[in-house]
Amino acid sequence: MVHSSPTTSYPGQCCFRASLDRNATFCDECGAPLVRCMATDECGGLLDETGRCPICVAPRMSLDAGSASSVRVGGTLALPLIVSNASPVGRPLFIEEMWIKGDDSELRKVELPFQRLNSGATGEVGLRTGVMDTAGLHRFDIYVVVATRYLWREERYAFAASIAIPVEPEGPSEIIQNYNIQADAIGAGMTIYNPTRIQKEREAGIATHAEPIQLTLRRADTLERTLGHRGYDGRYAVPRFTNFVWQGFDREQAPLDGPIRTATGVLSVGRASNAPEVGLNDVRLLISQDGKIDETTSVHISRRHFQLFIQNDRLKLRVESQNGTRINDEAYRRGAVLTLNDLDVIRPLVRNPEAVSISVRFEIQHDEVDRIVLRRRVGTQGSLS
Amino acid sequence: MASEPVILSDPRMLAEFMRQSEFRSFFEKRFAVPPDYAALLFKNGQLIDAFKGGHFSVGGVVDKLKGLVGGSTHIGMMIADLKPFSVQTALKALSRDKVEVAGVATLELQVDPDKPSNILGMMHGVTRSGVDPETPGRKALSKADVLDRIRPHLSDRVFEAAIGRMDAVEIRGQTGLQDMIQADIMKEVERLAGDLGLIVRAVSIEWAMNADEVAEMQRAEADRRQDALDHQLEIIKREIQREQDATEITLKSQVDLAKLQNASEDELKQMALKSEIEFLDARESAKRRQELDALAHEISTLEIERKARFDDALATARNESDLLEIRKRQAAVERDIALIEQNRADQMRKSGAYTEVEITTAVQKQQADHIARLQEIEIRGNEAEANLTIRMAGAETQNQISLMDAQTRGKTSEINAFKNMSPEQILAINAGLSADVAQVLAEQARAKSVSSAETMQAMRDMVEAATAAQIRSEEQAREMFRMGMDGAIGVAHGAGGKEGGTSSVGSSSATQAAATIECPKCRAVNNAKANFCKQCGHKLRT
Repeated sequence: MVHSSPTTSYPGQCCFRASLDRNATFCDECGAPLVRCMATDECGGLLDETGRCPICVAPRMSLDAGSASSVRVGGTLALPLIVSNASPVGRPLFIEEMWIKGDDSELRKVELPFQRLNSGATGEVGLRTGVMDTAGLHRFDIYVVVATRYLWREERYAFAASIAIPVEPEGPSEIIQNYNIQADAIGAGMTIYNPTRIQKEREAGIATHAEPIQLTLRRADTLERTLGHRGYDGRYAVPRFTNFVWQGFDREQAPLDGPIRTATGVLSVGRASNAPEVGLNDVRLLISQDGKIDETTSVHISRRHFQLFIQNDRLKLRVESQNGTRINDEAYRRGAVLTLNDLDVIRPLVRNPEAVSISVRFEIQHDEVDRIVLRRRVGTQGSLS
Repeated sequence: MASEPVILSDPRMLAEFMRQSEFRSFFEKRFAVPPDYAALLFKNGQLIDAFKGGHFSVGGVVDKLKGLVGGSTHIGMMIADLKPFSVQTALKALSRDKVEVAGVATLELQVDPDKPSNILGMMHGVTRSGVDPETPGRKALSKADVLDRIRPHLSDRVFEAAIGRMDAVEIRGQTGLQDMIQADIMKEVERLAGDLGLIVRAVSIEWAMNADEVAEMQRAEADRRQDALDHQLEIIKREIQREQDATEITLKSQVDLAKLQNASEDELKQMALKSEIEFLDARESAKRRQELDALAHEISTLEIERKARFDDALATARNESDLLEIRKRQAAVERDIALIEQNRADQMRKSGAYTEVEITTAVQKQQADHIARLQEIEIRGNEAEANLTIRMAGAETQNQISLMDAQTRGKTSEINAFKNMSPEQILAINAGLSADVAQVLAEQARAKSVSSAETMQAMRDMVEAATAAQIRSEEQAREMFRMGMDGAIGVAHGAGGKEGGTSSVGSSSATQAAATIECPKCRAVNNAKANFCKQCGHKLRT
């Protein structure tokens, strides 16, 4: 991890204090980079170590009051779930998918009747378990994939909750089981019950509950990757803390090496000169060599040519130039959002692809990309040659 | 799965068999018998057990399968109400005085909750066919059945025996008798059906009217009627008497009064017959006389009232005329006094004494005023002088206090300033240099030396040089070091040293510089307390 050994888990209180300064990109107390939420203008939040803004993404799930919590063998159980958005700042949450998984069964997708949950809103989902074949305690995992959106960007996260349901054996059908019991033995006074059944009911924690049961939602990061919501096909992920290394750029045209530190988390790359003042992010892209600028060709680079950002643990590029941009050999129009892979080459000038290119190289440690090296190459056929 | 409640089909029933068909179903069935019912379970006609209330589950596929394999099992269940119930029966008996006595006995009965299975003993005539509509098979025991069984045993053994010991009129309200009957009935039912699980909780009897009571009642009625008549007679008598007392009779007669007075009643009757005397009813005239008397009384009252009012008015008038007279006299006296005073004043003026006295008094008064004014001016002058002296002394004291205060404050601030300073700075300040200069010297001394002893020595040298060069501001000090220690002399002027004012400007910029710190890597301005650069994350402190 990039940030220099914070004493407490990131983000600490000092980081939130430091983030109040809009221009600050590092915490001046613990030195951790301030990785802001993409919707920082609305929520003012910082991403936690798992890349989630706890202010924007705060789903809650509970089992509705009155739902039965035990079932007999051969039966199915309906679980009335309540999903709510507990964001305190009015950010909507989008429930993208919901899955249920029994003990040994496959993941089963649940049809959702709603998607958008405004802050404080709740939605109800009825889940149906499969047929319970065996008695005992069965566990059901419920996965919910939520998304938070800001402008054209979207971050998805998966959460998991589990419910344990006791399944009772088949009920007694012979009367003989009933009348050889004594009322005094179970202390029920005048009324006679089947003590074996009472015992089972107690074990099963029978009965419907009067209040909703809050389910604990845990982040399911593996599932996010296997379901393809985050990362690169389950192979590796580019977290927001990934370091960017700028190579081949002239002095003061690229930001300092390190994670993206702009408030919105987006790096603009283009001809604009307002960008890379010392330490600040944004990249100035010119066709230059050793300080000599090829103005004729550089004019073809838009002031804001494309944007780089990390979304869903992937390095993304959004084409901003009217003239489009070429990735590898494919040209893309303005507004296209692409995922950049290892060894991709960005060629900003569609008509003169060799004039300047930026190669992308991932340095991976375990299953996380530790560094992304962006190397600018100025073509040989330009007038600078 | 919810249980199906099992209760009796009719509230008049006491016990009932459940139909076999109710048990038959493909799925398992659950029954709930309330705790105030006894449930008797039979299997293949044999009583298995009896419960007070309970939940039972019957049937189901497994049961059915079992039936196929091992032959079917007949399950029967009977339920009996364990709550007390009341039945009523009419009774008739002869009292000791041979009067027929009738009544209704109310019996509170209950199936013994401790032995509910014994109820089976009462279910005589139970059939299980139930197909013949003429003689419908009884699968139940009603409350009336119970009464039918015990009634014949009660009439002679209990009621006749008990009532025959008493006279008819004594029976009503006799709780002793009721208790005795209850005890007898209990004994009897215990004898009869105790082992059948029937107990008597209470017995009460409501008696009908017997012949003796009716006669008694009629006699009492006749007495009451006689009393009422007597009372009415009494009232009429009293009215007649009153009329007699109020009647005046005028005797009109032509015979001699003495003769009349002496005449006996018979003679008077005789006279009346002969019309010698005539009785006249004088009741009307008496009434009129009474009215006239009342009128006369009212007139006299009015007369007295009017007279009194007239007297009062008269007295008031007299009083007012007296007052007028007195006022007249008073006015005359006042007029006389004024006249006398006028005369006296005229005489005084003539003698001239009045004027002289007046002048003397006026002169004396004038002199006194004059002296008083002079004295007042003098006092005021003295006061002003005294005030001036006091004020002068006060101002002097205040000046001294302020001076001392300023000195103290200076000292305090010096001490405070020293508190945050290094020994090198204190050394420089004690040598008469400004705080900014001292800071520069201290920085330089530390930079040049290795140990603290060396630092202090270097500091001493620098202080000496700076004092000689009359360094007063931070710029001058920095200039001095830029030019080198040797050429320090004259730096003060060379650096454009301005006297006085510059030192304050220099100190404010120094304060600002102290609050922030510049990052050596990215040159971003950071808070002096920052551990890391907020712009590039560079570590600012070791």
